[in-house]
Amino acid sequence: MSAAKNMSAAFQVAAAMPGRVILLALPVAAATALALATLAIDQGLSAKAEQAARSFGQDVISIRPGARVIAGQSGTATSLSAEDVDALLERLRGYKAIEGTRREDNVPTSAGSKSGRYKLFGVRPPWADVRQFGADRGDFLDDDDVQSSARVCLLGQTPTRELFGDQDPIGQEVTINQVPFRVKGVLVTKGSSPAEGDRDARIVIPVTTFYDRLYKRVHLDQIVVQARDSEQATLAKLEGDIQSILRTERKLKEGEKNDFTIRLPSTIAEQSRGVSRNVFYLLLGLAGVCGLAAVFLIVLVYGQAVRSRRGEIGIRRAMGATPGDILIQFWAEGLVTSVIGGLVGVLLGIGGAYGLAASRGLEFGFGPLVVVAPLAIVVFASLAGLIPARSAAGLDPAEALRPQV
Amino acid sequence: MLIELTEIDKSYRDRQGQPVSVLKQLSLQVEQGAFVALSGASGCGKSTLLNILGCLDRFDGGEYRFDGENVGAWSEGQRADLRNRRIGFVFQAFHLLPFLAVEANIALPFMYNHHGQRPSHEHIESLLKSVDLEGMSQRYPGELSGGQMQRVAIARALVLGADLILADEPTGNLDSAVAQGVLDLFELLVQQGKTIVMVTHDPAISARADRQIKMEGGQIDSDNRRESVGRAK
Repeated sequence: MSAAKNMSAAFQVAAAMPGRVILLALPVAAATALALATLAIDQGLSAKAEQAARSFGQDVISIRPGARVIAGQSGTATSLSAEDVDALLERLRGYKAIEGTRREDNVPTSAGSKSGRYKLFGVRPPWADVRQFGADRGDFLDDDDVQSSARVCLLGQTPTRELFGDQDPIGQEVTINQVPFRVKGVLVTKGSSPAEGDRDARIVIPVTTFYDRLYKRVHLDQIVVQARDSEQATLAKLEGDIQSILRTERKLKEGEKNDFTIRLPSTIAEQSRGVSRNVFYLLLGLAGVCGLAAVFLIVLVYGQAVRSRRGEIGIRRAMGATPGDILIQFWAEGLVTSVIGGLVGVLLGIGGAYGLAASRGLEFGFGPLVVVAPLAIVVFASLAGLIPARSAAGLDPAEALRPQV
Repeated sequence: MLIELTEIDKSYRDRQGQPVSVLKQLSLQVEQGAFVALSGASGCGKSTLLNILGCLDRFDGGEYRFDGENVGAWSEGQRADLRNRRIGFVFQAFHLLPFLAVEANIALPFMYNHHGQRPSHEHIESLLKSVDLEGMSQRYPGELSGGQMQRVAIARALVLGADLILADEPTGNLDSAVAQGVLDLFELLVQQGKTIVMVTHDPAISARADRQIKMEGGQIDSDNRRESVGRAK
C-alpha cells in the first residue's frame, strides 16, 4: 500500500515535470527502438540467408569472375569463359555436374500490353538440378533447345504474375530484348535473398540462345560445380582442385591473386550478409551508446534533482516518510521515465522494423534476443535510477531541512 | 507532561572529524498546551533541539520521553510514525511542494500514514477555514502570498491532529502584520490544547509565547514564564 502511495507521488512529480520526463525518456526510447529494430531485421535476414544457402544447395560450389567482392555481384569482370568449363570437365575429379551460366540484369521483357525488366540467365539443362531451380509447371530446357539455340524460355514466378496475371503462360509468346520467345515452363518459387533480392524475378533461356540471339558475350557470369556429396572434405578438395586447374589455365604465377572467386555452401550465408552484419554491429553499438547515455543522463539529472529537492525530501521525512518511502518514490520517478521511454521505443522499433522490412522486401524475426535486448536496456535504465534514489533516501532530514545558503 | 528531555547531549563532527558539542546535559519539560519560544544566538543549539524534539535527529546521551514514551530508543519506522501522527512542522521556508495544489499539499501527510486515515475534502476545507484560507484549496503555492503559504503549512501540520507543533522561525519570511496573524493563529491553536515550540530570533515574536527559553552554548540560559496566562488548557 505504502509502495503504491509512493509510486503515485512519483507520478505526481512526473506529471508536474513533463519536460524532464521527455528529455530522459528520449535516449531510452532511441536505444530500445534501435536495438529492437536492428535485431528484428537481423534475425529476419539471418533466417533468409540460411534459407538462401539451403536453396543454393549444400553440395554446390560457385565460381564467380573477378577477385572476391563483398556484395556478391562482381561487376564487369570477364575472367570466366567456356574454356574454363571445358578445362574443369576434363581435369576435375569427384564432381556430379558442372554448369556455366551467362546472366544479364534488367532485361526488357513484354507480353501483350504488359512489360517488365528481369534477370536473364543463359543455362544448360543440368542447371535445374544443380541449382534446384527446375520447372514448377511445363518443361525445363533440354539438349535440343541448346543444340538449336531455340527461342524458348522458362519464366520465374514474378514475370509470370506480372506479365500474365491469372492466365497460363505456357505456350504463350514473350518478347525478351525485342526477340520473341515461347514460354516452355514456369520456374519453382524461390523467394528473395539479401544478396540477390527477388530470386523469382528471373527468366531462363538456353545458354546458346543467349549468345547467338541476344548478347554476343564470350565470358561466363558464373560456373557452378555440383559435388558428389555435401561432405566438407569433398567440398574442400574440390575447391583446391578447382583453384589449381583455373590458375593453371590462366598461367597465374606464384603469389599472383586469383581473378575468380570460389564460394562453398558454408560461406554462402555468411557472405550473402557480409556488409549487413557489420552495419548491424554498428547499429547495435549505437543502441548501446544510446543506452549508456540514458543511464548516464538518468543518474546525472536525478542526482541534480535530489540536490535541488532537499527541502522536499526533508519535509516528506518530517511528515513521516521513512528512508524506504523516499527510496521508492525517487526510484519510481526514474522508473516511470524508463518505462515510458521503453514503451515508446518498442513501438518505434516495431514500426521501424516493419517499415524497413516492407520498403526493402525483407522480413523481420522475433527471437528471444529481440525481446531480451530492449528489455535489458529498460531494466538497466531503471536500475540506474536507484543511484540517485539511494542518495535521496540517505539524506539526513535535519540536514535537508536546514536553509540552503 | 508531553515533552521530557533529561540531560541530552548532542555533538557533531566538524570537517576535521573533531567532535563539536551542540547540546550539553540539556533538560527540559514542556506540558501539553504550552506555547514555548526558543531563542538564542546562532549556533546555540536551538534548531538542533527542535530537530531532536521532532525526532528528526538523534542524540548521543540522555533520555527523551514524548507523552511518557522513551522515543529516543525507538526505531526509525516508529519515529516516522510518531512524526506523522503527533508532530507537525512549520518552517521559515514553508516547504510547500510547488507542483501540488493547496489541498494536495495539506493532504500530503496522509501518504505516510499507516493507520488507515484518509483525507476528506470536507476536513481539508474546514482546516482551510480555520486558517482563513477558505476556497483556496485548488490554488497553487505560486499563487499565494508568504502569509498564505505559511497558513497552508500550518494546516498541513494539523491535518492528522498533531499534539505538538514545532515551528522553526515561522515568521522569518513574513512582514510584521502577517507575522502577527500567524501568531494569532498559534494562540488559537494553543487555546485548543495544541503544544507549540517555536524557534525565533525576534524578541517581539518571542514575547507572544507563554514561556520564553533562552539558550546559550548548548544549554538553557533562562526560562521565563508569562504570569498572566489565562488560556483554556
